[in-house]
Amino acid sequence: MSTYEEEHGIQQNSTQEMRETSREEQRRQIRSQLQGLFQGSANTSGGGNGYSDSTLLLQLLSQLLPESLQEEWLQEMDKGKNTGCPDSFAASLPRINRKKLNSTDNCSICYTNYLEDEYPLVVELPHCNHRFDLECLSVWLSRSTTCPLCRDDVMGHRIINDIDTNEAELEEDWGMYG
Amino acid sequence: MSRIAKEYGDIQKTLASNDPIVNPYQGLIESLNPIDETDLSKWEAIIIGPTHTPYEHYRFRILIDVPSSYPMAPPNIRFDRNNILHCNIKSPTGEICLDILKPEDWTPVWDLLHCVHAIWRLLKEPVYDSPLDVDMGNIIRCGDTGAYQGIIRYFLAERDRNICR
Repeated sequence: MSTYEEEHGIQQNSTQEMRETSREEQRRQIRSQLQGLFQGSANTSGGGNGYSDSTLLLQLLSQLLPESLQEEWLQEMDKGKNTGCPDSFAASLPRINRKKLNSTDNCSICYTNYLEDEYPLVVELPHCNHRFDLECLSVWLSRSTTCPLCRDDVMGHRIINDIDTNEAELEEDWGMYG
Repeated sequence: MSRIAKEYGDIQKTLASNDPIVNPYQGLIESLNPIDETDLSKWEAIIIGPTHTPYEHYRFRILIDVPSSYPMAPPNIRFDRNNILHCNIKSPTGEICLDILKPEDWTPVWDLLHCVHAIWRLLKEPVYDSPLDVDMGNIIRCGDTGAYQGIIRYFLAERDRNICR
């Protein structure tokens, strides 16, 4: 496979080449180590040292990935642990008309009075009916699925609604082909 | 105006008041300010040890780091190093084990005053089943309240004796 430099006709300077060759050398070493490991495990299949082999294998595999990529992946994994709602969720919430807002109503996230803004974008959560600035709430819901005030699971009610509509659609289909 | 700047104004107003309805923290939180007025990411608080606890008559300094993602992420709060003994506090680092300060339990409606107040309450009511100081946790879980409080009193007396020297 050609490298980026080759494809774009970029001349590599000598230090880069040096680095390339040392990296190539390193790769070759890892490759031979991996090969040895596979052959070894094939010979001693069912042997007692399966555990130590797999940790060595993991170490070698981690060497094959650049460090920056490893960190990125770890961060991605952490993100997966506390995922929030889909982006469309906050935008789909019902907006509250300016006339329905009291002069003392504050957003509990930014502590700003709604009516300080001439055109406040205030949304209401389903079920618990707590209100927030759309901007504040959408940032929070990108990391969490709970209401900041009462910890109500905002997506929980959403899923029930989805099931209902699906069932309605199913029934329609049955009617068509009945 | 950013949320933390807004809080700064509110905190000053609240803590300056002598009205117990405006300032319910009288006798609990002595002060809560940014260490440097131009940097609202580093704060310090002084809390007063709750009555009827070994912490009574002592004052404790709390250090608060406000991350740039605040209030979406919780502030990072700890005591001064080697300044307090408590089953939910790692004394050498001052690290605090308090659920509301963990990212998964945090909510952006809480502010710095809530957090400091929660820490004051933690001094009053230690949580025995999640100890950060395992030795202190074991003593209190054995039911030896006398020993637990005695060790804290001794630690605090030593602490202030060392400061006075």
